[in-house]
Amino acid sequence: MKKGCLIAVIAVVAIVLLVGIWAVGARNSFVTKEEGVAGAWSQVENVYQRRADLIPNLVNTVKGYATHEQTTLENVVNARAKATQITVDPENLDAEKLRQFQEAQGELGAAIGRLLAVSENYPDLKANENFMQLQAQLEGTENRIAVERKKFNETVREYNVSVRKFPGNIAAMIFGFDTKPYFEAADGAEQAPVVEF
Amino acid sequence: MKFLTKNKAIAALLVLLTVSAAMAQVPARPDPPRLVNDLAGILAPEQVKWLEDSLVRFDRRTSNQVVVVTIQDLGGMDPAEMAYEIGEQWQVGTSEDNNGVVILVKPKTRDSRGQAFIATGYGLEGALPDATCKMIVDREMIPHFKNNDYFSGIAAAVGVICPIAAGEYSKERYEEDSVSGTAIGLVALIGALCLFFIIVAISRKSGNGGNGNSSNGTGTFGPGGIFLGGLPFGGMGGRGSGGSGFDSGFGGGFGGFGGGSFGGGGAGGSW
Repeated sequence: MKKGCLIAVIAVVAIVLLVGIWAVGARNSFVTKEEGVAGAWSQVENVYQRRADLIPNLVNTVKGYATHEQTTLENVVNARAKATQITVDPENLDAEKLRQFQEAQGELGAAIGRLLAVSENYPDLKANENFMQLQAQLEGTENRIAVERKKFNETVREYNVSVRKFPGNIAAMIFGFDTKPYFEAADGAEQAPVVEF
Repeated sequence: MKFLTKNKAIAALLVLLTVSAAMAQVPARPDPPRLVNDLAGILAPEQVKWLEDSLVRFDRRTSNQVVVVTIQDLGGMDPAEMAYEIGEQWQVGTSEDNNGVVILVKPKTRDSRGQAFIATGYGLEGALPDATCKMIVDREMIPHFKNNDYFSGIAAAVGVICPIAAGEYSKERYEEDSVSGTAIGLVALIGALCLFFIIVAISRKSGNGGNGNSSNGTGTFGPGGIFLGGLPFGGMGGRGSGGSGFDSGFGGGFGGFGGGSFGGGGAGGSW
């Protein structure tokens, strides 16, 4: 009787140990993937920041030529101020925060688009060397934004799959790893400004 | 709650679908790996060979990988997106330095505009900023492409991109340079030419390059490059296609792509 008891205890301890090892492994893999998401997010913020950094120069260049576009210029400056205020900590990235971020950046993108559209009416501005360079840089930045958003969504998808798939979801629940939101596809305002040459 | 997660799953699926739809259009990574991929068939075989050899040499010397892709149809994709996808999926450049460049050319057809795009890997965004890429497309490529001379445009662009990417020539100097990049291309090519003859001399000594000798110096690029016109460079292509001496001189072809990544840098233009 005593011997059977001992075996049962050893079996239970072994099972607990195995489950524990598995849980620690699962947790570590969530942490690694979460770090990947955080890295991808900082790249996203980088490229949006890159766009914001181009704006003062753009506004100043346009100001010199397009004297009747005060409101359009002000809209860009205001949208930039609003967009740069919203920063998201990747640690607590939820759907609502991401939506706000995306909305503010979308407004800025739209404002830039309108500014570039009205600049079409100023041939001297269009011929300005500095303006042409800025246009190339802006276009490149929009491409970078698209790429980094895509890469972010891919990393989030990988993380979300690991958090939701059985049996990982049990460990995720125990350790409190939640799914993370995606960037939504463009709807109207978020459409990247079309830079036509 | 249940409904919400279901919606999320559908959204994820949609993202996945659009990604795979985009991937379907991107040409598959060439096997065996090649740096010059004339999928549109706008270059002569000896022109492809010449470009490939120059770019393979450049890769060996500096580890910067410059890929040329010509394509007949972008499949509804933006040229920037296509060039980025090629760079990312083929993994152009090394994984440590991400020093790849993709030169994408879609020739002009009767009912569509021509498109050219230079995409830079993460590591070359500093050396080749978008404004510089834009300038290379506008100054080196499009003027030739307008004359249907695709080879000269690509060769001129390569002649500027390579020295800038290798840090041998600064983008500032290029931007100030009103003579256009052909001059630098020329200098770089003369350098390459000297190297070529030295290597040929060595390989001949070792008894390899006996064949293709007869076609040496006959310029096969008649209307081809401006800077190739008077040089015996044209003979290289002919030589190479004639005998095995050329290949053995450089010890084989391109070694393969290195795992480089792209972030959407670069610029393009249309005509």
